[in-house]
Amino acid sequence: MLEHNNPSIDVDDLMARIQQEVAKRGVGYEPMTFNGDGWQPHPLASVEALLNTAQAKAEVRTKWSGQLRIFPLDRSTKLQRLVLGALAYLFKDQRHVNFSLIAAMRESLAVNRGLLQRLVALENEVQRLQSDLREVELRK
Amino acid sequence: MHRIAVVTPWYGRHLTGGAERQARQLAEGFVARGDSVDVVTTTARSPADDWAVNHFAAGETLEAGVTVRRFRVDRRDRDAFDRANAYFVSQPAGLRRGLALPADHVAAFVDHNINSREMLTFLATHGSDYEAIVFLPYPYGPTLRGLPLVRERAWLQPCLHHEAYALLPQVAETFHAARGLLFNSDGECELALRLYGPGLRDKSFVVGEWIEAAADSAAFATRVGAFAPAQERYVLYLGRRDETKNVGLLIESYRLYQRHDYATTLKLVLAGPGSTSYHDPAHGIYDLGQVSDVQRDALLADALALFQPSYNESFSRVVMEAWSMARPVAVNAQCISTSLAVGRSRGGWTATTKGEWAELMGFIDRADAAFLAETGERGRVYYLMHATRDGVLARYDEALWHGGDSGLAPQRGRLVLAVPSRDLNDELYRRALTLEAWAGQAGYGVRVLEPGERPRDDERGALLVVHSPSVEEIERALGRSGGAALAYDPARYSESAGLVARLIPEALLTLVRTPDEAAAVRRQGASSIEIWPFQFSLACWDVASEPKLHAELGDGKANCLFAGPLVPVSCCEQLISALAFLVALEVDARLVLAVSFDDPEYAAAIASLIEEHRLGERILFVDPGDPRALATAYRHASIFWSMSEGVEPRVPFVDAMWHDVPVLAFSTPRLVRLLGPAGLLFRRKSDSLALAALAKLLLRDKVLRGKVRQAQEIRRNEFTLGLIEGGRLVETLLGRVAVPAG
Repeated sequence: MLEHNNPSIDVDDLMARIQQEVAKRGVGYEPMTFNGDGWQPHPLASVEALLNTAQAKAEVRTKWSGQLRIFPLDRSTKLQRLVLGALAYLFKDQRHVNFSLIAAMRESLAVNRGLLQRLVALENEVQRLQSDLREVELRK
Repeated sequence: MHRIAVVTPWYGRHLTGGAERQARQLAEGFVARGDSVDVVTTTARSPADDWAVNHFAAGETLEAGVTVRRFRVDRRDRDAFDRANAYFVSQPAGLRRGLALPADHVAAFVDHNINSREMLTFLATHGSDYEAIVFLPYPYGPTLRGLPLVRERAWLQPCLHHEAYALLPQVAETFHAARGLLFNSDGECELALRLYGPGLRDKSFVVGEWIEAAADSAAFATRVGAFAPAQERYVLYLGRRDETKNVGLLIESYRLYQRHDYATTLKLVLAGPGSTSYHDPAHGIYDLGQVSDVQRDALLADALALFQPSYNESFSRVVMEAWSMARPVAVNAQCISTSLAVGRSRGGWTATTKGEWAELMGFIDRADAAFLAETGERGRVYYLMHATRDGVLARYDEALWHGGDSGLAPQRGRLVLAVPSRDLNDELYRRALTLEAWAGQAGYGVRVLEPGERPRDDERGALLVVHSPSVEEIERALGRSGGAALAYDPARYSESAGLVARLIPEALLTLVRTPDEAAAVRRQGASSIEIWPFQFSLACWDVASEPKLHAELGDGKANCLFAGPLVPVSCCEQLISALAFLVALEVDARLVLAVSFDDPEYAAAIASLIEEHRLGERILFVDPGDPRALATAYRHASIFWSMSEGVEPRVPFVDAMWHDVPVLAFSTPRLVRLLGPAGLLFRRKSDSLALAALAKLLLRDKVLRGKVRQAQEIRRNEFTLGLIEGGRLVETLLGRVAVPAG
């Protein structure tokens, strides 16, 4: 069935895998979508992106922001360290709250992801049944 | 002396970022050579400061011989930009080129970027004062909005990374709008071709970036804070210390290695700007913060190796700095720029996962000093070949002053090209487009006529080159005062064979594809015959994607593309049947048909077949006469799938190979000759289910895809030439013909 034009491709092995694919057809159910280039856009990606931002911003700041050029803070690194230390201490509880919320949100995201996967699996099942019908029609 | 402008968002000696340093180095390098250089920049201080604050005074100053023109920045919504930016930064590595990004984030990123209306007004009014305008880097307002205003003299030095910004439609537009592209490394150039298509090939130049050699080792610092480099065994990370540079992975890898080898004396040293400290000397991690140049050189000189885990690099100065001091490097295998350089130089190693990085640390920890020195020396040879000042400036000269221009006198003669259609799958039309590109390079004035259009009165004296089987076009060529030439194709001219037989003896030139065709036209009395091999210009793909189609095709489905005429021998009904089976094999796929409707009866039959099998939502038609739409289809294609039994056209197979799309096709003798070892060819197509299974394997099996693509990458070079070589070919073809000045 296949040309032996590319010596790096084992045609016999490929034929065996085609047969396996064909044999699997209708026997078992394997939910799958295209993954040719290794990455799929995900509906939860933007939620995850926001959580990553939240986590990055929740970390203790150890360097004075270049955008806060207020005298005398922009002149003295000791003063800057003192203020940063005070801020870190003052917002310690808030930081715990933030990290806990982020962790909770991540758990919730994982649950949602699982649910979505099950939904996609169900959709694929429906799709498979529809295509079975089409196939029967094609073979008529 | 040339007049050059360098456009960059921030400028000054205080900046330490790679692109900012490169902008200054470039401007001062041109000035030192005697060119007149203006830097067009904003009044903002640095990328780390507020982009809406005018830190510097607007106006003109002279800095190290460079005229710096600063323009006030616009107000912006920082929160909207930060939200969009956070989304892009958080996207995973290895993004697909066809990914459609959310429109609101894209708009916020572009609108609330660093922008300066005053700068844009300056470029629009004074852009023509410069011979070349170099924009860098790519994802900021001055480039995104300024470059299109001066596109005919604009050179983009993108400093491109494989990141979400690179997929913004506005960024793609900028790459296509620029007159030429200047890259820091082969890997960066390759990434651009992968992301924006092969149309960029003719205008891309790898110029590199130079690194000033380190001072004498006697001048090195002996201590960096409490850390004494000469007394320690360590691997070094240099650069911005944050997650975007993958520093977290490096630290985790080091901890993993320590868990495996408790007795190790190897330390991990980090140095560079950053807002978070990773300092943990008790566990072997030394975060030294920002260091001076002397301290950096001292750290590099004594390091066992430099570790660069970032996958967002277009060049990586620190890698070259390490090589300039003969130190080996370890880079991220997923970063095309650095990994390609390491692969070619053999001056280091690559790693991707945490385990691989940890293993590499162990390997370096155990390696003897002579082996490390030998590896570093190979890197130094690469540095001397690619990153020295004279070499880099010579490559800029080659690109800016000779790259887009053959140096030949313009208007050596005038050509008008008659074409049958605007169908990019049509070999005759593509030969005309190729002649347009290459003859233009060779100094001829060329115009492609619209299908059926007569040459204008002022083109009466120009040489008419007929690429069309239309009776009208051939009649027009007979007895033409400026003379005529014929791009011969026996299969296409069969219906007008009588007229063609009359045209051949009087044509000034007959272009054929093979010696057999040459013999045939010689028998018909052709006086001047030239063989033009099956080679095409890719310039027609230098177009941005069509936005609506880009969004539609970028939805994650596997796009199976077929391009060609919609005629019975194309066997599209078999493709549709195989698609139904492919969907039945649980592949979320669609069929994209970039076809010309040459046979209305067959087209109607196909339409009813699609309707009958309720596949309307999975089949999409694309107009092959629309370059943006067809380019979009190729850029999103997962495979090129053909059941065609026809001998023509061959062009779409070549286009698929150049767009890095694996070809799956029914084998015909002509196709086997065309593709050689490339593509995956099948000889029987009676079993649609087996073909669908084969398509599924080609879609999903990365190893198989890789093998097919690899063979295609080599094969495709047979079918095109660079702009300069193409110009030479056309010079040879037209050289013996007295092409009238028109």
